[in-house]
Amino acid sequence: MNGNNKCMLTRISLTLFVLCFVLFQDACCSQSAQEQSYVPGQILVTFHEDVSQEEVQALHDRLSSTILNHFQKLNIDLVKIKSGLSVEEAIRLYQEDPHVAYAEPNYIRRIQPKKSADTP
Amino acid sequence: MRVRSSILLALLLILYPISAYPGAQRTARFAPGEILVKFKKGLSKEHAERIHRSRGFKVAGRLKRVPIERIKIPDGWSVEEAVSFYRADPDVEYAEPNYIRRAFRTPNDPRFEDLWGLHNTGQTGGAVDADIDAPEAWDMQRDCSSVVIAVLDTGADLDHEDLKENIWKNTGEDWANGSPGNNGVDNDGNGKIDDYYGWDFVPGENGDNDPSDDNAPDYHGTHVAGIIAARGNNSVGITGVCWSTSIMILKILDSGGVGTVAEEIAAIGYAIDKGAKIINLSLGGAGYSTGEYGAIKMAGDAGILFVTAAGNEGTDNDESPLYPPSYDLDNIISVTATDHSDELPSWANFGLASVDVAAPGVDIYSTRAGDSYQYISGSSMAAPYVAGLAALTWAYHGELTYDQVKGIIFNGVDPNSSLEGNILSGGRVNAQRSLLNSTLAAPAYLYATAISANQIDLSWNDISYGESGFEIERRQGPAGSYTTIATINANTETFSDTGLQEPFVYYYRARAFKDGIESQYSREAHAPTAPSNLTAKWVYPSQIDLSWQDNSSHEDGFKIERKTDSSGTYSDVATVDSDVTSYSDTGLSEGLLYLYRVRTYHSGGISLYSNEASSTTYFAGGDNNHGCFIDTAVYSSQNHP
Repeated sequence: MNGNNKCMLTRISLTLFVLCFVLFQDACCSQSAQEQSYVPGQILVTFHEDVSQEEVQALHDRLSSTILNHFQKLNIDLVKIKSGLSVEEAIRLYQEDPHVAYAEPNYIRRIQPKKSADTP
Repeated sequence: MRVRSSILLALLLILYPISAYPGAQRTARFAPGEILVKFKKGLSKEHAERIHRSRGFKVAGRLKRVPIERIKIPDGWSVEEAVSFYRADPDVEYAEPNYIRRAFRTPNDPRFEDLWGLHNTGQTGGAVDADIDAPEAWDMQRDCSSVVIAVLDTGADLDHEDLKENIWKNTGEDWANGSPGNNGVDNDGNGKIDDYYGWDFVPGENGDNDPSDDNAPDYHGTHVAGIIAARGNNSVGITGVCWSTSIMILKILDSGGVGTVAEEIAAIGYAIDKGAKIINLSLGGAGYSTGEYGAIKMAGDAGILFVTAAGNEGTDNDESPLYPPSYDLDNIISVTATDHSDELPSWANFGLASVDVAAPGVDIYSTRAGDSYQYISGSSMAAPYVAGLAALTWAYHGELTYDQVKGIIFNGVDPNSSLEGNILSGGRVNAQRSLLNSTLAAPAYLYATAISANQIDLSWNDISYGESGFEIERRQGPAGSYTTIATINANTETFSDTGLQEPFVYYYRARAFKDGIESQYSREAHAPTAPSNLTAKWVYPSQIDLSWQDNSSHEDGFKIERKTDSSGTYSDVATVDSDVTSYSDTGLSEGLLYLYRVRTYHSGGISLYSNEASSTTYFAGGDNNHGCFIDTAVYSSQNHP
């Protein structure tokens, strides 16, 4: 085995190691993603500023959504989407509407996992 | 701040009892009847003695090691007058009141010893002074009650013995003898009925008026609240960074410590409406939310600073962002944790671009529901140290904007090797340095006046106080690199830069400094290029028309000066807008010689003069149409680089 081959082997094993690491990471992260990153059945919809209340309501009615909360200054509605509709699908439907500036999941925020609290 | 330099600082602090910084007045207590004076080097004792005797001053003592004299002032003189008298003397380096310094403030709270993050004497086996220098800062400011801090968390124990006095109360609702009236009416019309102590935004708990902490057994929000605002010096429990303050408890996380951006957005709206200046968010999540971003930006437009915890995954927030700390918004300050040895714990998130500062966050002792206390670790604990510090800074110097407060905290950190290269500031916050820093204001209105082809004079307004001096930096051309060209004395407002070379355009900036802390930079100043080819032409007996060549690209305009006698003095005639290259001077006397010169100016400087040009108006004597033209233009090399 000459030097070049050795080098190649090292590279392959390194690549394998990195690959394993990445796979392991993926496994770890998809698991924690299952801890839910957003609320199912809800989305946040931001309307353009010049959209009327009637237009907003008409759109929600058309998509069978219920307004849960309204944040006036930001033109944002928190809505409960039609049951059976996925969050991704609801976002797509809302974003197709020209009155909508933005639609997104209602993301979860939480206390960061607490670390060792050694009580002296 | 190490002990030795603190003593020196106490001796040298120059805190003018003037109105610009109301916070400073509270500390500006000085010994009556005496001042401190330092003469310039090389001045003989006899000369100094003559100055003292000229007004009946007496030397009451000389400080060891530093050549400063304590001067007893005679009756009839105020301390201010005596200081002014000595400051006016060119042989005096500085004169100042003899400010009173006590031992640094330590509160009487029985468990103060456990609060290594505020004052670390190595009591927990860590490094001495690996703390935020709270006692030193408390010497300047302890009360934050002028600043409302909203804590968006799991709520807080509103009745805790060490918190209740510092909980924000909504004066917009009707109170009955100091107690909630609970009248079922939305008295302040904010859509929340009987919101006496903030609000519970968590759905399912049906959004009620009781933001009490139900996050057993940690009581996260209560712990966070205590770090900012446990009542200080009340002989009970611990103290927060602020001894007295007003924390607005907005519950957005449920009993399990989980919430959504929708609740956060609603709470941010409430905090804006109710006048919070600071919002503490010891929470986060992975999803980028445009709505959350918009709400934080809106709070920024209302002047609110967000203090956020960087997270506890041990990961790089630049690579795997955590929101809200990782939003690119200038009203967010993202905080990671340090331990009692100023080390970044393995679990603490970092990020050279997205984490700003560090603060104590390991084994932090704070309040727990039910009049009890406990230790918790996390960046959740680090953020409230910074929220408290921001409140102290704002209370000390109320006119600051959120980005100034952020800059002051950022610039005031104690850098260390565990943090450098890991977070943006490379250091752990230091309350004393921040408060000192808040009085170090960038020199205002820096202005460059071209004096000759080889000299530019700078001037500025010194709006700092307590500075040790100013650094002047210069670069050649707008793309050059700045280098320091001079370090000059405190209270100076001018500087002459000589030995300059043509044809370079020199740019300047300046900053104040003290004890290794620098102010922000002043604006950039430079002298624009002078106009040339000025000509003056008589056109009517009472009018001379001027024209010149504009050699500058960014001027605000041109200043025209005139005199009527070649040995006379120039005075201003007119100012014309940028890119204007002519002017008609009307209303002149007949048969007189007029001389002119023109300068280019902009907000940060003024050029050399153009060449001088002159013309003599015709003496009409009844015939206006046949005047003789006597026009000249003198091109001097000085004015024509």
